[in-house]
Amino acid sequence: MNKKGMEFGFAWLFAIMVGGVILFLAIFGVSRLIDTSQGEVNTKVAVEFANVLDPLQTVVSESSGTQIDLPVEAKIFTSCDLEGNFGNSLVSFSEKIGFGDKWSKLGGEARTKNAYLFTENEMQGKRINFLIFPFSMPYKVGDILVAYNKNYCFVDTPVLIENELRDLLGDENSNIVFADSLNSCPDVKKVCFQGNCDIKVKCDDSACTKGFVDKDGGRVYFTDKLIYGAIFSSQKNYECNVNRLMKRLSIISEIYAKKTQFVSSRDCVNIILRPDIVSLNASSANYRTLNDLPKIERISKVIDDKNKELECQLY
Amino acid sequence: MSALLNNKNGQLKIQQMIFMLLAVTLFFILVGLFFVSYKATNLQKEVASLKKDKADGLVGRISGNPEFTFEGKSNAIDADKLMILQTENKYTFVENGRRKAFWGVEGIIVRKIYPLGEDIECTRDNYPDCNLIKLFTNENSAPSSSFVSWCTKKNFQGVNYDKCELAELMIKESELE
Repeated sequence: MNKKGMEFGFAWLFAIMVGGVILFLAIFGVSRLIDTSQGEVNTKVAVEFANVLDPLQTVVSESSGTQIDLPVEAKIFTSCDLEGNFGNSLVSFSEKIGFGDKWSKLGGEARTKNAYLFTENEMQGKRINFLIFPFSMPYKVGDILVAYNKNYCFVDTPVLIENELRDLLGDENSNIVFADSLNSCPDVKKVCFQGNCDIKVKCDDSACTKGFVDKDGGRVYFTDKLIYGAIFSSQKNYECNVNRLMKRLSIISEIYAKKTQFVSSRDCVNIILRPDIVSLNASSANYRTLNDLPKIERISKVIDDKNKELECQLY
Repeated sequence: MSALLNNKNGQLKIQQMIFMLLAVTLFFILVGLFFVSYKATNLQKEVASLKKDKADGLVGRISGNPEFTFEGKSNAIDADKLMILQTENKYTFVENGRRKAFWGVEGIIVRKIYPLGEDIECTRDNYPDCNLIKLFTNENSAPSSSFVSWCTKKNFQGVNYDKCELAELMIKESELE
């Protein structure tokens, strides 16, 4: 009888075992490589996104609105820290890949010191809408970059706010709709200026230059254009970015305080502003919570009024 | 005798197989190394391209930053503020052993381009009779540039006015954060 066909010796066992190990290592290596590559792509997208934030910022004191379309659906995670003299806005991405709508490995964080990104902690979608407002107190401090991708219904909106948003959004953008009552709103997040809904805005005056926003069980105070940051941003991102703006205000005030002396040698007399600017510098440096905002705003108003009266204005 | 021959033949086969497996493993390792080095080269190119994109995006807009802007005017820089920024150390920091400025750049250079003249670097002693302001760098030029107005406050016979001249603003990009 020929037994050769049934032979299953050591050589076969050895080959199967080692072959299996090699195959396992190869598959493991390739899957790790794909993971790393996707992480690398996500990091690159985050850096590109952070790079785009610079050109978005205003050159003159005009607000603007725009959109960024991503090549694929992505989850965008944003956060903020107070590290160093200015703090950072941090962004990281995870893109949807392959079959079964799987989310890829989260990429590295891209950070920017020069942008103040007011958003929810997590956004998901292919299109990100931006509203950009210069933040001045009384001189320009930075730009409020509001990013959102959910749909909103604004109810009983003050005329000034509605007109401003309509101007910025244009006719084609339908992410925000305006309604007279909650009943006429579609099934989206509701922002109401009277009554109760998802995001409740309480204004202290008709132009809504001061007030507070109740959202997700928390309350944040706003002044001027920070209203949009308060509406569209998470409480954590809002408080952190306002804190960062105050840090920058403090340092910019130092520059203006020095400028009052610097230009006086050329007969441009505005040194009268110096004590108030020094006070603004100290108040903003000591900023701790949103409750400190009204005091800082009061000093900034005094500086603005005095500056307007000057023949050689400081800013 | 035949059993001995069979045994030797088996050993030879095992040795052959080991060499083959080693060769296959080495082949995969080499292909892997080649792929990794290719990816690394690509990554370096992408980093360089992102740095350039960042600098190009920033250079056209940096004049709108509060530290540069002249009374909120479009594309106009306040030379007085830049002179103060020269001595301001809060805008620079060291990260991963590299010195960086707040805007994620390694240096900013502003040069008056009209009227033409020799470069005179601005210091507290010769300002405003100079035409070159360097921030956070000692170099005289940088790759990314745009045109801006160099503005200062002047006084003529008791009347204050704004004097603006044409200038080139250059940015030396730094490592990506």
